[in-house]
Amino acid sequence: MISPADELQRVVVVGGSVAGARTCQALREAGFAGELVVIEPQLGDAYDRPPLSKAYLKGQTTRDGIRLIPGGWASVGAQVVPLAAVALNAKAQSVTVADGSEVGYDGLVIATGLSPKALTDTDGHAIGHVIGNIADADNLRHELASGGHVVVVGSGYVAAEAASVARELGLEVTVVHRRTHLLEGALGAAVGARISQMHTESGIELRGNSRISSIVRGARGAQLILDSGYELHADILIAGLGSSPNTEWLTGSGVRLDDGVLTDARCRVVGAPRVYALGDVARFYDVNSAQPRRACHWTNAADQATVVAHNLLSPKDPKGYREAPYFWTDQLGQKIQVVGHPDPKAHVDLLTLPGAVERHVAIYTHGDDNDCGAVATFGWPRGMVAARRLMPLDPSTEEMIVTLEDLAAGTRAAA
Amino acid sequence: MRIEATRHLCQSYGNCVAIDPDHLDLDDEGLVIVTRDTVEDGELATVQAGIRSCPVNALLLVDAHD
Repeated sequence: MISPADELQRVVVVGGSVAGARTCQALREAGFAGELVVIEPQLGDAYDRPPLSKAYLKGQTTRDGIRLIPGGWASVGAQVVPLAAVALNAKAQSVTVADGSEVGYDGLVIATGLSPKALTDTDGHAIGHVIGNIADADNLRHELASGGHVVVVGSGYVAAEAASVARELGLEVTVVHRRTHLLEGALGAAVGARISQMHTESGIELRGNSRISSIVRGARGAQLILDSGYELHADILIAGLGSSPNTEWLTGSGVRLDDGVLTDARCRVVGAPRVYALGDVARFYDVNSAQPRRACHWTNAADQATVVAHNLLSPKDPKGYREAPYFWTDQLGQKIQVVGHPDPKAHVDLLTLPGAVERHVAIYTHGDDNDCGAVATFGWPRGMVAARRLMPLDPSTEEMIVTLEDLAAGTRAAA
Repeated sequence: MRIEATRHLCQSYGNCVAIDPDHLDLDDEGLVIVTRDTVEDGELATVQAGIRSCPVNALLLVDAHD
């Protein structure tokens, strides 16, 4: 075991969601026997966030069901400081927490994630629900249980997922957004149109190409006026407007910030030694695209945790991070899985592949060389496994289609 | 050490297969199967990373004599 125990006695992890939790687990599994401190104001054991706008919101699982570490923080020997980090002193190697006390470190992991953006009413006050943490999800779940007309604002994943859950719970749902289709920004117009159709067929009303002119708070919910003049009442108003990286506490610390915490390709923070950043808050140097990138997906955080743990323990033999982009969304009973970073401007083939069960996939062709840049599967996890296996080999669109066709037809025994 | 899957927890994310295809796969229903449950010398770090990659903790590493 590589354990420079005299150097790395105490690792401090700021943020106790997937990036922080998986880093703690990876450190212990790699043999780190030193002190592990997690600075996280959210009380209780670490929980997973993607279900907050999906199964947890719908009431299909409980807090115990979304625990990130099966045995809790204690099982990885982590001591939790239940306060927010408010400042970093990189020279002194210490983090200031909300009660003013200092937590010193030999190695620091920044995993503070994102905060959702809220809507504002005509008086300038925040209004409506957001889904960032478990308390937000609990509040919304409670309100959905009392029924009413739900208005979701936004066209991204959280907006589409929240609309799905509300509809599946039997509520009337309207989605107001600026794009032509749901998920158009992330997945492009062709796949966005397909997803919009799913929503419309379920009875969700979509009001695309719309901007909100005003939101007036009511006794319950709010009255909205759109730029077209159309008025609608929301008993329950939900914002799915995206999120901002939680980096305020790092202002003035010397850590380079640029819509996130800048790191190199080894997850090392630019501007502070012995400091690493990962997960949604990190803008890492992406060797695939040779550009800095922030990847706000669960799998990116978990994969980076392995790299961060290794590099903390073996700083002289650091591993690079090469993202294998993958994410999923659950909407209206369908699991949509995506490998690659879809270029919204890519040519997209929406295919129905024949077989014992018909399979639906979208293949994105990036650039002008017939490269397969991304694949989306609709309710076909095994097809996604095959696509993820092929993707690192830089397949052409044709190679990807043939592989998936064979799998769907059953002529390929194993992916 | 031996890998165990709790199949009823599996949500078909496939992360484990992407990381550790030598031990894990998804079956036709999209649920995880352990194709080889033994962990050879030099495989432990990859096996552990595969297990950590599961969002619902459907995989476990247990003592071979359990």
